[in-house]
Amino acid sequence: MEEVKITVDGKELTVAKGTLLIDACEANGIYIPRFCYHKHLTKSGNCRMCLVKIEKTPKPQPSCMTPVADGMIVHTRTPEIDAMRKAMLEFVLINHPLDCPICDKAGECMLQDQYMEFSGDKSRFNETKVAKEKLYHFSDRILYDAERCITCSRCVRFTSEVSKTNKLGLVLRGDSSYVSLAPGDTFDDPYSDCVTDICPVGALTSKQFRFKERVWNLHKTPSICAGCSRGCNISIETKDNQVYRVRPIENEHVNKSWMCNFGRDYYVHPTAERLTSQRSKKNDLDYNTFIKEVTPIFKENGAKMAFIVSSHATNEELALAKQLADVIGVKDIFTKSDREWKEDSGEVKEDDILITADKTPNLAGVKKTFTKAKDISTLTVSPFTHAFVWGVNASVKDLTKLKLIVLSTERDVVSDKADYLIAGQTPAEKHGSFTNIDGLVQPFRRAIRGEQNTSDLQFFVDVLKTLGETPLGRTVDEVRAAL
Amino acid sequence: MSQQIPGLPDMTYIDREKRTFLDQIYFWEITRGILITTKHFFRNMAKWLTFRKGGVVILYPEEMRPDYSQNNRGRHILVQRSDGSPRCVACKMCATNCPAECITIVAEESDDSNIQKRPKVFEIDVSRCIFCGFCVEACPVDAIRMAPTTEELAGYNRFRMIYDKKTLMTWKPTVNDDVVHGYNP
Ligand code: SF4
Ligand code: SF4
Ligand code: SF4
Ligand code: SF4
Ligand code: FES
Repeated sequence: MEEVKITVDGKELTVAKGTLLIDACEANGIYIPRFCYHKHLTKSGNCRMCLVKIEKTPKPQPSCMTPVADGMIVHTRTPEIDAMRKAMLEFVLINHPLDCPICDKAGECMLQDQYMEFSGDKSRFNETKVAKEKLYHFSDRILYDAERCITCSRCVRFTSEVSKTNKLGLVLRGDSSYVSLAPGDTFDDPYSDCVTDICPVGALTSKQFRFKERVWNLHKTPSICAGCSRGCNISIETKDNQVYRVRPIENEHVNKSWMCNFGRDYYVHPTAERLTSQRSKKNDLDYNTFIKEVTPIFKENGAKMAFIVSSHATNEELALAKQLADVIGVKDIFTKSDREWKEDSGEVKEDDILITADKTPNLAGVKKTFTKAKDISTLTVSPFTHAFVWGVNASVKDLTKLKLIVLSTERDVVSDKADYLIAGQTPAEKHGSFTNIDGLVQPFRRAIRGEQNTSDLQFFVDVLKTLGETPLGRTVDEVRAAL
Repeated sequence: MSQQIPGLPDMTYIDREKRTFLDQIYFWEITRGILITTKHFFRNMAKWLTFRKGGVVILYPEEMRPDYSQNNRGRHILVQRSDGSPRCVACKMCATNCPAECITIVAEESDDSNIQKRPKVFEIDVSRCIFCGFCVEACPVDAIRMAPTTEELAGYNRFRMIYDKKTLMTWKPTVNDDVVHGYNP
C-alpha cells in the first residue's frame, strides 16, 4: 500500500494513503475530540468538534473528513484550536439540559468527557433553553430524549447504512432539530439497541437498562455472544453476579461495532429453569460420589453408548470429551444444535448483517473436534443401551428409554428422566473459546458465577482421572496449551 | 527516663533502657496518674458548682448537648419536596463518593414524568458512616443534608443502625426544627 508522511504536533507519522486524518492521529496516540465521527459509519462532518489546523489551508479543517496528503503539517492543540473546541462545546451545551444525575449515559458520555477534557468553562447562557420532547418512546426498547440530542446524525446513519431499516431521520432545522420516526411508525429493528451505544450522549437510551445501575459501577468482562454462530465480541456488564447489560466490543473481522438485540437479551433475561446440583435417579449426590458412580458406567458401556455433544460446549471441553470418548471406545458420536430457531419466537432467523441461522455458538468447533460425528437426526436408539446427553434440546424419539447420563444447564424432558444428572454451566459462567461460523477461534472469560459449584471442564477431568487416565489438561489454559 | 521526641512538642515516650529505679517500681507513676485524675475531678466539680460549661459529661443518648455548632455533621436528612416526596433523584453520586460505602440506593421510575427518576430504596448504614459529609457535598440537587444534632443515633443492635428512606425522611431534629437547615457546604 502506498504510504505518505505527515507531521502532527511535531511528530512525524507514516500512514497509508487515503487514511482519514482523525484515524491517523488516533492510531498514533493523538486523540481528537469528536461527536459525529464513527469508525464504522460514513463520515458526515457536521459537529465540527474535530477541527485541526493544517498548514497552508486558510481555515481549520474537520479531521474526520480530511484524508492525509503527503507532507501535511497538522497542529491539533494550538490556542486557536483549543478556543474553537471550547466554543463548539459551549454551542452544544447551550440547549443541553442539566440531566446528568438522571441520565443513564452519565459516566460514559462523550459530552461529559470532552467537556472535562477540553473546556471546563462556566455557562454564560442566561436565556431560556429550548424545551423539547423528553420521553419519546421510539419502541418498547428505545427511549429518545430530544433535549439531550446533539443532532450528530450517528443514529440516522446507522439505520440507513448498517441495519438498513431507514427508520430514523432528522427533522426541522437549527435548535428545533430532532430525530424522528415516520408518523405512526415504531423503531422495530433487530439491531435497534446499537443506537444507544453509538449515541455520543444520552439522547437514545435502552429501556431495559433504564435506571438499573450507574455505568461506573458495572464490571465489564469481555466475552463472546452465544446467541448464534457469528460469535460477536461482547462485553458482559455485571454487578454482584447479576448481568445488567451486554454491549458489543469492536472487532473489525466479526461484528465491527454492532450486535443484535437478541444477543443482548440472551444474557440479561435468562428464562430457563436452571439445574444446580447433581443427582442419581433416586437421590441427590455429592460431587465425588457422583463421579465415582458415573465413571464405571462410562467405562463398561462405551461401545454401546450414544455420545451426544452440546454445541454450547467450549473447544477445551470438547477436547477433553473427545479424549474420554476415545478412552472408553465410543463408536457413535452425534452433534446437536442446543437451540434452534422457532417460527413464533419473533427472532430473526438469518440476515446478511450478523445474525446466522445456526443459533448456537460452537457447532463449528464440535465438527472440527469430532470429525466423524453424525447429526442427531440420524440417531435411532435401537443399537444402544446407554446415552450420554450433553446440553439441552436432544429431541430424539425414545431417547429416554436408554440409560441416561445427562450434563445439562436446564430442566427439560431428557434431564427429568436422567439416571444420572449433573448441572452444567452457561457460556457466561465459564472460561473457554468458541469457533465461529467462519472458523475463527475466540477465547472468552467467565462473567458470572453460576449456582452450581461444579464446572463442565472439571467433570471431564475428574471422570478421566477416575478412569486412571491423564487428562490433556486440568484447567482451560492447560488444555488450550495442549491443543 | 521519659524522653522528648524532637519536632513533636508534647509527646513523650518511655525509653526502656534508660528507666530509673523510680520509674521501675511504678509506685510514683501510679500516684502521679491518680493525682492528675483527682485534679480534673476537683476542677470539674468546681465548674459544675459555679454553673460553668464543661463541668460534667453528658449522659448520651438520654441527654443531648444543647450547644452543637450549626455546622456540625450529625444525622442525615433526606430533604423533601413540598409534596413530601424525596428531592433525591437517585443519581448515586453520594453512594459513589462515600468513602465508607455505606449508602445503598435502588432507583425506579417516578410517577411524575418531569422527575423521571426517584429512589426506591435509600439506606444509610450509620454504623459504618464516618460522618465525613462527602455525600452532602456530592449531591447535585441538595437532597441530602446532615443535621447538626446526633439525636437517636444510638441503637442496641447493628440492624437498628441501617436507616431506610422512611426513617431518613420522617425524622425531624428537635434542636433545630427547620429540617432544611443542616450541614450544607
Ligand atoms: S447526555 Fe451527557 S451531558 Fe447530557 S445529561 Fe446525559 S450525561 Fe449529562
Ligand atoms: S439521538 Fe444521539 S446519535 Fe442520534 S442524532 Fe441525537 S445525539 Fe446523535
Ligand atoms: S457522611 Fe461520609 S461516610 Fe457517612 S454516608 Fe456520607 S459520605 Fe458516607
Ligand atoms: S447524590 Fe443526592 S440526588 Fe443523588 S442519590 Fe444521593 S441524595 Fe439522591
Ligand atoms: S467528528 Fe468531525 S465533524 Fe464531527
